[in-house]
Amino acid sequence: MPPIDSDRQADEQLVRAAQQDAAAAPQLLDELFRRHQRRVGAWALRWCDGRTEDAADLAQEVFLRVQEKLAGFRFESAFTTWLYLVTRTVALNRADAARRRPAVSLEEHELDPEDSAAPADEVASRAQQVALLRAAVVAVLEPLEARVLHLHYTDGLTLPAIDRLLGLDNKSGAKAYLVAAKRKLRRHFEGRGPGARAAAEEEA
Amino acid sequence: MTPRVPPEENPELLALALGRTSECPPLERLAAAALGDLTEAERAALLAHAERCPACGAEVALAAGFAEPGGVDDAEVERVVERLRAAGPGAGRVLAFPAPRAAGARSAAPVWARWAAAALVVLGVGFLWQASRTALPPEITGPGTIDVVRGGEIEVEAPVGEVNGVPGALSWRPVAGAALYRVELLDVAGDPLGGGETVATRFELDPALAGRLRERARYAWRVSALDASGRELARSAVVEISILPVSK
Repeated sequence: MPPIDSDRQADEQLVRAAQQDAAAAPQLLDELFRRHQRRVGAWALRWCDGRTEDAADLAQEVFLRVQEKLAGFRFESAFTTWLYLVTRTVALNRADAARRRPAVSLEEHELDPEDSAAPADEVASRAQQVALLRAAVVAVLEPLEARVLHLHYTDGLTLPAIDRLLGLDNKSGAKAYLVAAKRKLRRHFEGRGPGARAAAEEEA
Repeated sequence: MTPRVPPEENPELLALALGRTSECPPLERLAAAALGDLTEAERAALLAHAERCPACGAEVALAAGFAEPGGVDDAEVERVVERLRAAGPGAGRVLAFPAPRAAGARSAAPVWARWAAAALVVLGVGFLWQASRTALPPEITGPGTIDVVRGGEIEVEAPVGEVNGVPGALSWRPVAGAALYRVELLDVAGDPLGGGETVATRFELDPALAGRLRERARYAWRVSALDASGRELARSAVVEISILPVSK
């Protein structure tokens, strides 16, 4: 990271000054963005699994959105926290858009198109399956294993990107945690007998 | 008949089971805890929850990486920064501070952004141009920027009103006791286009549903909260959205 100027204004002071002085705003915002370019760029690189062009693309979009939204910043958090939330939202939205492209498959299992119109009893059944699986995750997995599963299945991140984002430096990285987690869950359901497994497997 | 898939091998079920729940604290609080933006007592309580919650634990880990960059080569970071300085805001170019958009007004890119986009085309920096055409996200949520739609029993966060491009997801505030949320997307006549269920307070539009949405068109959506028996606990107002083209 670049050296910090001890005389510099806090980020929030810069934002406030920019909001109050239109003439000075361009230079103030330029300084604000320069301070955070490396932070956003580094996080984007990890999110994009080291692909420089994708990371630059993502970081560029983050600053575009910050530019659009900054007038509404209400100083209810540190600027860095707000900037992170913008960065995260842009990254997730780009991942959503990428998943919507037809060239990208929907992982191993296609969603059931009838799910969107499931009647109430099937909704209840699905909710029970989800609750059973969540309880198993909390009961038998290490926190790091559960986080890897979340980032992969809920956020849709690739395993190499998870390696970088979580700083995993073990030999097989996130894949090792994913395999271990699934093995533990399988044993958990098998250990609770065929009835429990059938309940968790039941298709809505 | 659909073959039965073990729960630990079912991506859809895993995505739901590992998602955020109504018990989870707001994302902005988790990020603030990870980035040292809270008192020690507040931070400890949030981190205690994150330790046993897959979604919140992951959020804290991602945010912590924003505070202490690592795992990437300095030279790679410098290449990203050079790209930003060459082509984007914060590049040493004079920036304009955008005035807040008037309610109901059509969105318009800041003047500098239009100039920058045109310059990028001229310079042949295609990857940035392509991104601005295809990937401008819907409304950003974050501290100080969340606009909640009230009027129903569930407060809706985003998207609301005008959005740039087809939104990737819908989000709302949690409802106490909710086991599942049911989301419906409607056309301008109020007829359902599709939807689904989630345990989280965010619903990602699948490709089939997103593919039915068009730019320059109006739609609406609503969400209802169900308890574990499938009984409806609460519902949101019907929220209108207008999808603007991502580029002119």
